Amino acid sequence: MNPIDELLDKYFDGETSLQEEDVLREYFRKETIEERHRQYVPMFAFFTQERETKQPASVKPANQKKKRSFIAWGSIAASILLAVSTFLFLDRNSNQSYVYINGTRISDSRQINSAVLHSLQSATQADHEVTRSQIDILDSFSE
Amino acid sequence: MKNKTIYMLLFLLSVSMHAFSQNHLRIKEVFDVYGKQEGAIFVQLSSDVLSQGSNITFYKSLILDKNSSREQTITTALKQDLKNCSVISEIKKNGILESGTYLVDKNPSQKLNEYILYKNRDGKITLVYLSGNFPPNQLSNELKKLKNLFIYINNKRLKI
Repeated sequence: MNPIDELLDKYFDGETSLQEEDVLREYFRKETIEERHRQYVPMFAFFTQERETKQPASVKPANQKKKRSFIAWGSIAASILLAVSTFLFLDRNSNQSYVYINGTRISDSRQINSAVLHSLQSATQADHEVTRSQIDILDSFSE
Repeated sequence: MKNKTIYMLLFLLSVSMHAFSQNHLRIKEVFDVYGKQEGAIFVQLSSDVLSQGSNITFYKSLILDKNSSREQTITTALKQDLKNCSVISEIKKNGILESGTYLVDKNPSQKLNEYILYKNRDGKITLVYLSGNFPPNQLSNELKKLKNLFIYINNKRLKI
């Protein structure tokens, strides 16, 4: 009995190993096959094609990996954005000058800058109490 | 990927550390809590005011009418912070801290020195936090310069 016939018998009985199935597929890929086997060509061609289209097993994880990578980098980007926003917010607050007396803000920090201090324009609402208190503090600590 | 994540976390940590500088001190809460209350004078001066003629880069002062609750809260916060401070000068009466000037310990990468000044006298509690690029032996001089700035503001009747 021809070895291919033997393999075909085993194949249809579901007893072939993967290697034996590979042998069959290789055989049916060839152009020179025995006439009696030609009826099986479409079937093996179909299975071979199916097998190749099912391969994306390796493609799927790649997509998943890409997705995971996107999520990871997205999270990192969001964290950076959050940190930078927090920093800018805090930095903006800590870069302001202001005075509160009894819980009331009596100045706009944007008005306090060196230009104002060094200009001769006098403001009408000087807060003597605040400046006097600061002088006292500095006096007492710098004695 | 792992390494990149670690670098990113380190970056975020350094950004956060910078953003939260000064926030590591407990007295920061004192300014936050009492700064805008009745009976408080709260002054914050930043580089916009201080940049000309002062090496002090940040200045925050709080003057409060004294009461036992405030005193306890402030001294508790101060004691916590003083664990990481060097004493420049200190006055105690009957074992109770009356006034003190302290240098906050810093890590080698930190450029600015941070100082805490405290006074509890005559029914008033005064707390000052300031930072600047100068050593403790120049603190007194820097405070005098800042005082002159306030005198100037006072004399010119400039609005703060």
